[in-house]
Amino acid sequence: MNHTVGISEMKVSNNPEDVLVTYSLGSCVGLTLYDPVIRVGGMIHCMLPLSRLDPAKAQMNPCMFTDTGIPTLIQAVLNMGANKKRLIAKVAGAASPLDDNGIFKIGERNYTVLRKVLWKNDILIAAEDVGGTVARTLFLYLDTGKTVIRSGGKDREI
Amino acid sequence: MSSKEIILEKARSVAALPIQTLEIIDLVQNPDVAMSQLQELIERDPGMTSNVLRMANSSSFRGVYEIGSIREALVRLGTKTVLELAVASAVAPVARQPVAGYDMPAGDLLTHSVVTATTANELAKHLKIDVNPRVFTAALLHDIGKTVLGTFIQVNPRPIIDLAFVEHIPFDEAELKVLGTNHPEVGAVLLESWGLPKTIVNAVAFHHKPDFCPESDRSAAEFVHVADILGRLCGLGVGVDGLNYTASPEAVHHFRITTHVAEEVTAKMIDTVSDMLGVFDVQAGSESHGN
Repeated sequence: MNHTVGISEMKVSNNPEDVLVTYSLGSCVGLTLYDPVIRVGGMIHCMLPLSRLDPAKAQMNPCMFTDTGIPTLIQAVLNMGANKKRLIAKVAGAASPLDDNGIFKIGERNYTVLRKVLWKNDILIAAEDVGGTVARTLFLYLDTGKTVIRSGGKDREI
Repeated sequence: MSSKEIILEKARSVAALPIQTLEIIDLVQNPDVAMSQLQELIERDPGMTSNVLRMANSSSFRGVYEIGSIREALVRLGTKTVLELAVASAVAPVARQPVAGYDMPAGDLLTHSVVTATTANELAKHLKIDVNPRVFTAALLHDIGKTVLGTFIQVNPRPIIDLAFVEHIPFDEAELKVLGTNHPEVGAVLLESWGLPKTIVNAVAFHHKPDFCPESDRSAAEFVHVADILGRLCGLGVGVDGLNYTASPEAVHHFRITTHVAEEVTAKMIDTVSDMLGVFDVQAGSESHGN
């Protein structure tokens, strides 16, 4: 079954029939974590880099911000029995407008924060499709851990 | 005829808006519209009445108490805001169609239109500036030219996409090179043929190149431009053109947009936009809006 992960949301599953999907990743960043041994996986769609922008909102919904959302997702898959050492992390999104003078680089900031949080947690990025000026859709298949990116009407596996 | 002339001719022949929509838009031109006149016009249409009340009670606008009538909405929110909501209700349906060439399923263009108008609204609130309802209308209609290009003419987008993404030139400039015209110009021609106010036509015509807008309407074009770029960041309802546009440094400077402002406004917009999208039966981040 397809489960949509909305903006500022996350979902985790251990049902091999599930597909997690998040649409419309612009400058937002999407992360999938998957443990291939026990086939537990999760996906998050974080909108803004740092929770200090609005700590009250971050407390209510940590998934909105990359710095609070990524640890929340990691904890959620660990709670389902995943082993941190086996986690396969894949990243998509973090686009920016063309020739940007830096003001609208929310995408790059999201990506930088994401890398930092993963690094702190000893999780390496196995594959990614980030940056550029395209909007992306991200799929995670729970049966195999296959991750697919759709943009410009084309699908490709990462 | 050149391909440009054929396209613009097609834009002029797109069916006009319903009379009542034009009557509402006419009121946008009149800064001193009487409350009673607006109330009467809205209440004549049960669909519009219900839409305006739903928007008035969305998290963007409502206060502590529920707003139960158009009269109450006028008193509590002011004529200007209610007029904006009425215009939104009137023009939104034209953006509902799928836009094939731009890889936008039904609802996507409407989603991006509502996102841009909501962003404009939140940006105005954040900057504490008073924005003319015409700017809000222009924000809703800014990409309407894509309907003509993608649906009525069904242009082959491939050469435009290749030019834009391989050679990294802004999507509107790629359209211009391939077609001899682009979605802002086509949209402006369409809206002009519908008899919409010049400020709206110009803000739509120059929403990707506000620096070239005639001075009298430049501020409006700049505002729609900034709201469009900010709205695109969230990715909702964005088509194959994605974020492949440039931001005008002049417009950014004019409204003193910083990264902090961009993030604050985006955070507020995403809070309020789902209510607004719900009024038009489109949902944030659902399957029909993926691209």
